[in-house]
Amino acid sequence: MDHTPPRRPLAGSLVVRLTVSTCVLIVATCVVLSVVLVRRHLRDIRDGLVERGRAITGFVAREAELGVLSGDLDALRQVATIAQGNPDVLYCRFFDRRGRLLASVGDGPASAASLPDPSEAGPVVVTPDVWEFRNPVSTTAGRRRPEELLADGTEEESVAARDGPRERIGAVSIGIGLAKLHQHRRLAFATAAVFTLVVALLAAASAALLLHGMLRALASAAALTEERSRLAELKASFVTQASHEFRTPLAVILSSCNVLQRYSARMPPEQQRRRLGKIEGSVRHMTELLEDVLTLGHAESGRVSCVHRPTDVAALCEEILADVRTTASESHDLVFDGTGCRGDVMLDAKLVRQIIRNLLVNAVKYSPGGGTVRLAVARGKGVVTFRVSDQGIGIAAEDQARLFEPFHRGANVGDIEGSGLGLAITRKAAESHGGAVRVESVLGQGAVFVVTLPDLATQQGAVALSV
Amino acid sequence: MKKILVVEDNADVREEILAILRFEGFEVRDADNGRRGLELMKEWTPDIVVCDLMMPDMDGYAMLEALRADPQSRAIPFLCLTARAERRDMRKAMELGADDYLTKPFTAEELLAALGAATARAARTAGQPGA
Repeated sequence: MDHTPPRRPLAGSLVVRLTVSTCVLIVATCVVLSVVLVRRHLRDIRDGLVERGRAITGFVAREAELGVLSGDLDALRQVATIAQGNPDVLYCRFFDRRGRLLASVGDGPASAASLPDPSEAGPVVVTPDVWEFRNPVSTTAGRRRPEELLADGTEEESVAARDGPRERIGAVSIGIGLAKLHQHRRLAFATAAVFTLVVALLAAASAALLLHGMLRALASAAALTEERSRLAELKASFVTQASHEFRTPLAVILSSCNVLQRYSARMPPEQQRRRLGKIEGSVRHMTELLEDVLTLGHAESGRVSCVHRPTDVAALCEEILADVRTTASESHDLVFDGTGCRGDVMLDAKLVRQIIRNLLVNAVKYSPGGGTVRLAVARGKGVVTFRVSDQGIGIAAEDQARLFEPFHRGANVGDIEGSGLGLAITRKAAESHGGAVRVESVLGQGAVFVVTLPDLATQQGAVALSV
Repeated sequence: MKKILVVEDNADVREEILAILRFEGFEVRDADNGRRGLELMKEWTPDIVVCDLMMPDMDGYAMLEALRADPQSRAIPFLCLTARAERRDMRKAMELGADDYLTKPFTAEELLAALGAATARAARTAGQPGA
């Protein structure tokens, strides 16, 4: 017989690896995706903040032109107050052309009070929480003081003041707080972390479910294959054993025929008749064997139907006993005890007849010295119990485990004829009836076969009572 | 007259084998299992053993092993006559030292031919130097 290496552990290991790899891949993809999205989101926020900071600084620089020119600190503070209308603006500072601080509104870091380099628009990182934006304050070259322009200025001078070449007269610096950026960053990372965790948990749970399902499927497939293999072996073994059982009576028939053909002239008529009787007996034996094989095959394929009908068990048992008594010798005493069974029981009489008849025939057959064969029936605890006991040769403990297997016979049967199918058929019949059969025996001290079948009437009564 | 021991547990089959061999002029003795066959051989040495394989108490394989282990009976031709027709059974018997293997059901011609071949083979072996 060929032995293929076991594939189930290998397949199981492959499934585990595949599932874990898929799970890791999902989580890794999720982490990468989260990081990319967070970075893009933060970049957008940063760009927006830079744009806003530059726009505010430009606005303040334009609006501070007159205040710087005139040195009007109130005007500058007013411009700063307008700028601080934006919640991101922490402070505003104004410088003259020499870099001297003219005005400072709002709280800013001390380092930011020094002269800024207005060519560097920003953002300049002043502290981890503050960006500074800078812008030069300029005016038209050669422009006079505003009061002068207001006093006697002409229309041409006004146009020149707006469109002429610009001259740097000072600088502004605006501090923008990064609290919102930091808040967004924290929120984005927290969201990404929660998202990744949720996806990881979902992936792990899905992977576990998938793994469980696949391993179960693999286990089922392996069990199915194993069961099929076992059934195939059983079938092959059954066919082999059946062929053995047929070969012996066939050998009797063929050899008897040969003897009659070759030597009948030298054989007394009595011996010839005896051989013809042996041939007839072997044919009958083979027919019974064939019927047993077919019955067992029928039962094995699950085609035995069980129809429960109200049955007078005591009457049925008496009827079977009467039938078996006709085949038993005078030394056998067949006794029935039905005191524990009153009334009709829901049973399949055909199956029960097959079970009890087989057990009684065996009890007689394996009691070659005669003795009492007792059949007792009792009802109780939701079952009907049949006990068939004899005082025969008994069954060795090592044979009892395999006694109900087809073709298995006790080692002590000697010349007692039998196919080894009767008890297999009995067990199948009991199982078809939802029951079971077991044996209790000591070698040389007889045997007791106990059949338990469900007592549907009692069970339904119990259910009705409990309701 | 050749002496043949027939070891077979089925009484009907045993009776027919004995009848065929007696009608053919062989001196025959019989036993219903291997143990009784070996006991019989202590007082009566056959020229050939015709033996079933599956028997209670001691089967044909065990009897064959016992025969081949004993220098006194090592050379006695051993003919298996069995219902076991599987190749592995045949191979096992041949490896243990069986000389021929017949499966049931068998004809008288097959049995006699196998006995004739075993007798001839035994005679050739006995004639060889050092045998």
